[in-house]
Amino acid sequence: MKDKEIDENEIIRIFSLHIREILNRADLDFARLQEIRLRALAPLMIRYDGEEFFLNESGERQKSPRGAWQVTEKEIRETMEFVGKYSLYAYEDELKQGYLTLRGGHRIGIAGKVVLNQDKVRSIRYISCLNIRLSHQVLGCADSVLPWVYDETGVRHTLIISPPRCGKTTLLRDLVRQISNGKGKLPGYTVGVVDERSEICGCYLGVPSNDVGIRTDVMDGCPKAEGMMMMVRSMAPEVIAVDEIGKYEDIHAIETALFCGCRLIATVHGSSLEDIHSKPLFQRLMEEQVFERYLILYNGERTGMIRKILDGKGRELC
Amino acid sequence: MLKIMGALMILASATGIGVSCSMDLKKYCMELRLLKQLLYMLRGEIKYTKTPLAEAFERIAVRLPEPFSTFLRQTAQEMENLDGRTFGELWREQIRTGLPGTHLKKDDKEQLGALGEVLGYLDLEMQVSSIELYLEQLEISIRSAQDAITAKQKLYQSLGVAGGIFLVILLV
Repeated sequence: MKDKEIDENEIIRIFSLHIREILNRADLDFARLQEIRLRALAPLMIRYDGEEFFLNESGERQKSPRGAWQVTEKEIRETMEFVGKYSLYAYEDELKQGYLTLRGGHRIGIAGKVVLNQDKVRSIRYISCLNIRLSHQVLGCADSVLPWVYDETGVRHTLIISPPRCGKTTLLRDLVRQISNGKGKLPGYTVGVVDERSEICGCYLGVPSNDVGIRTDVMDGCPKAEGMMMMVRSMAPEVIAVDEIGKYEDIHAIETALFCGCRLIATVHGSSLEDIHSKPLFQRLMEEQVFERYLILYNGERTGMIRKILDGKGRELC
Repeated sequence: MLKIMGALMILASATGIGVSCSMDLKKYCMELRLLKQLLYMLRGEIKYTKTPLAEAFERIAVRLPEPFSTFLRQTAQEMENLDGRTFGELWREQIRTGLPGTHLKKDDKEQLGALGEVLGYLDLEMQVSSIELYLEQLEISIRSAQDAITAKQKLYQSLGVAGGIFLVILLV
């Protein structure tokens, strides 16, 4: 298993000059860095190796917020200028959703004062909190689950159930890559990825930054329900992959895709199968036993740690 | 003979100075119009296709003559570098280095520089209205430049000729 290398420069240069200097002095190993958090008038914070640290002006990591560098509003404003390549207006739609995607699939979460227009979010002004989440492509992290999902008989309908930050997207990405490329004697399949939040493929200007396989088509930034229908209609995918299903329209689109003979791999927030059973949204899918495999993740020391693998009837396979 | 030659040369060069002064006025007016065209195109790019600034500059550069074309292209390149300067700083620097060959006045460059302070960061509507505000200011400058042309063009030319004749009489 190996991490795909992260272009450090690409990340560092989105920050305001002073924070760039601090990050450069900190000499971080970006493969171990998960998050960088900037909050106006609060200490500069990072998540490194799964632990929270504060950075002081000379770039040293420390556990206590005392003496850490206090991020200023000006630094956040400048950072936003660089993130948006001096053209934030071009990213209005993304800003409304509360995040932007960088080249390499890294996500920048944004919070601040929301401007409403007839009860709908129009934009976010006075941006005061940023969370830069680094996307780590861990090639081969799906190796252990692959035999349960993908064998001579084809790909099984799979649902990945995971709490936040346990690597469900990372796992899904690697599954997509391996299924798309094919493994050993197993043939590769045409995979259609509907990447609503540009997290799976990390598309930049429509082209995936992550390795998602040679037979993968990506519908980037498209609402899942619509994207799945478009994929089925236009790209004839054998497998459809989507991240974080959670709306009624998604379920409807899944049913249509299944009807068209596509295999489905999806992820959902949750910590157990019972969790999913209890959500009314998934009731019909559960009753009809649409999914043949459930992969349940937990927050382990590595990305994509599997708690258990269940079959369609909820029996434990491993 | 030599005197006549000298007198003619003085006359010709004085007239030339007059004509070039009036040509400068014309060029100045034309550059203001090009600037207006540039801003109209930029407004279109932002309003209708939400193109990021750097990309919009590249596209507009193709459709404008020098020195605006190089000015825009270089600004776009500098923007790609993300060297830590804000857009306002970068824009002013580019105006200083990229537009020295033009006839634009200090005030015009100042106005153009001020536009850079609001470009990029605001939302779409604010962006478009800032450009529109600038276009209005530009329109006023163009009008006064045109007035200056009609008032001063003939003046410069005849002043050149008259100055030449005066100098010739004085020297002869």
